[in-house]
Amino acid sequence: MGEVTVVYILGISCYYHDSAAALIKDGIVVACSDEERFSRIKHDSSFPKKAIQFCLEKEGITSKDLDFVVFYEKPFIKFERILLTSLYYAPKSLSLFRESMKEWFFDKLWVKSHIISELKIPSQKLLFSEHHLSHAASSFYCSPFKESAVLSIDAVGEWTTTSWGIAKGNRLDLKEEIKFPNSLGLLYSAFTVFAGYEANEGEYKLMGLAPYGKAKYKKEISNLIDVKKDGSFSLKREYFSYQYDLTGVYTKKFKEVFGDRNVMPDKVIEYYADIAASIQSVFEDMLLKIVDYIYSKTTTPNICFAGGVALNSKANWLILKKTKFKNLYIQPSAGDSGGAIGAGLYIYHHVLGNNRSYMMDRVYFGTSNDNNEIEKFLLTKKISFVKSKNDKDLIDQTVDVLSRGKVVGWVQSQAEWGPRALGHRSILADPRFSYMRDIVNTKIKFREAFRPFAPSVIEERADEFFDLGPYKNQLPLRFMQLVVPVAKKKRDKLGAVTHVDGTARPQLVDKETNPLYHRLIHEFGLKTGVPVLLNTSFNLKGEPIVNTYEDAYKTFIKSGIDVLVLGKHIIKKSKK
Amino acid sequence: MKVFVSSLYTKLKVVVELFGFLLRRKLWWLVPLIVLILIIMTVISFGGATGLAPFIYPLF
Amino acid sequence: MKTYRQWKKIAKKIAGFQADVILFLIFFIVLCPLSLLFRKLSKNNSFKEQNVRIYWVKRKKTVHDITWARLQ
Repeated sequence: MGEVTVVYILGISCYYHDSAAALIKDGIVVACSDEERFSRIKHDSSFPKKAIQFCLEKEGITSKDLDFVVFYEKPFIKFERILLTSLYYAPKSLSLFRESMKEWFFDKLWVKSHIISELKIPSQKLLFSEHHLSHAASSFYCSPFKESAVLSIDAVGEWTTTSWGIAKGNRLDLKEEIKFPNSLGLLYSAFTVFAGYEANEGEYKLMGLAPYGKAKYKKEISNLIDVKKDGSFSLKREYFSYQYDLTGVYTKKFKEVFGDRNVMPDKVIEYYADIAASIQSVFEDMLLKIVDYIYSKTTTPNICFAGGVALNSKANWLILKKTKFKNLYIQPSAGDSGGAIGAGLYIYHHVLGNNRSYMMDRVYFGTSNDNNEIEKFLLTKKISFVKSKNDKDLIDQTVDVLSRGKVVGWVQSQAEWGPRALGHRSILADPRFSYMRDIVNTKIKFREAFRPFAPSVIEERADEFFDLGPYKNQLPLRFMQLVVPVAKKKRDKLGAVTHVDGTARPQLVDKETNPLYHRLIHEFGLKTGVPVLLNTSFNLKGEPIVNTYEDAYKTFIKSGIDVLVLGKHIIKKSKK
Repeated sequence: MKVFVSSLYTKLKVVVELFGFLLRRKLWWLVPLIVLILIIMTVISFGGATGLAPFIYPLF
Repeated sequence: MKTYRQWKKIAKKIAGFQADVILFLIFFIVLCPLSLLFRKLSKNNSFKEQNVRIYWVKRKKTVHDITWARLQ
């Protein structure tokens, strides 16, 4: 009888931000995780040793069983870009040259030898994808489409900042690109820094601030860019310094136009809100022009989107509403960590020529928590808890505390892949009253007051509460990737999750992929009339989303969360 | 010792690949600069790793 | 052993400082003069602002096989 051989490919992304590892078995993602979930360092960029170990242990294999290991980009090409940039902009590029040469000569140039020595694999097994190919592949090969346009936009990969292509069957070809330093991602980051936030961290804060302002400065921002009819663009070099200066992203000329930032906007300040609204509007216009151009060059109604810029969920909705594309898929972890999956899938399908059979319609790939281990932990630490008799009992108790205005930390089953908590590592609260948003923001998350929270709603009643139009079945809605209007009649019922402009970023929860969470929301709906929950990620400011039950407990006791649900176990904060 | 030799061998292979890359991309004129930085960084790295860094000053 | 570890910590900091100094010197002695030539002679159009009809650049058609994938 013939032996069926299994092909294992390990994808790795690291060294810029958001390191991750992903294990692919015969073209199916069987395990993946960000390194930060294990190291507890937010946006950890170091070599993802723990994430790799997790992936291999989950599948019960060792590195000897791997057929290939794929790194998500071409390090030499990236090094070329950095060296040539330093050269071109000398002497202004001193800081870039000095810091990057130290990083590269001490560390990044040797990624091949790191991987070989860590995993003890022969060098022939180590492969390298390209950055934007990894992004594009992470979306297309996880999508339900047989054929699709693909778009990848981020700050920068090797040289490319924006690229589009066509994918069909198991083939993916990128056709055109825009190169560094012309970057939509870095343009948005420049304004993120200007508004007082950190680049690669604060972009979604700028997006959340935008609805508080008016797009008064569109003209001024448009003057910084030359945008062609086909959506291609060039940034005017005299306004930006990110290409050569590690200490600043914009120049004196930029400050002459927009002023000198000297306050951190912890509260909404009208000017920065207007700036946020303006850059969001300019960004959306540019993105839609690019998408329209791609549509004109392809014959498919489908588009797959990835890259850090695909995290802008406000703009993503407009791709469906305002362009001719009818179907959209976005890799749930659209940033660099998704590149680990894309690198592996690109090699498996495009390079090795294997057919596709996989679709990522759920994202629960991470660490799971065993109920017996949880109980042992609680007993050892002498933590008082109540163990629910069954799922119904667990849900009844949780719904009871939620409907009484308590905040619940909810930890179930396998952790989510990507930046969103989707009901397995979540903080939950009653979405009906706007004061709940203030409670969660100030007592638990310690975030800026203007930042909205997202809702989880059961799929079958989603269009009652949100204006989804014909797009209800789009997969990005399952992963909180689209900002949509809240139905006008329901805005008063969803005070804690409706943003100031009447929108929300919902998660549509389906019974099949998330039965327990679905049931929880359904039961909450039966009790209150609103089958929606406020869902935010289970972490405090500055820390990654919790991974294990120990992480969850540590965060629980440091925060204002009232009740912690760990599997079947319910722990209430003591009145002391 | 075996690990050190194996790691050194892999790193040397990376250096050879890097030069091959530079030639393919018609960046042969960068080779002297990269060789210079490589040698200096290797010496510095060796000094840092072994504790000999303070004694490297006399070399310059 | 403890003293050696502490000494190595100091040595590592000194190594970092040495790297800064050496790179500073290389930057001004080697890179800056090379930069003048590079800006004049380079065919790399990415850095210069151009007056073109479109900014899309067609990607080179290369076969992506295992040999391509092995290259860094």
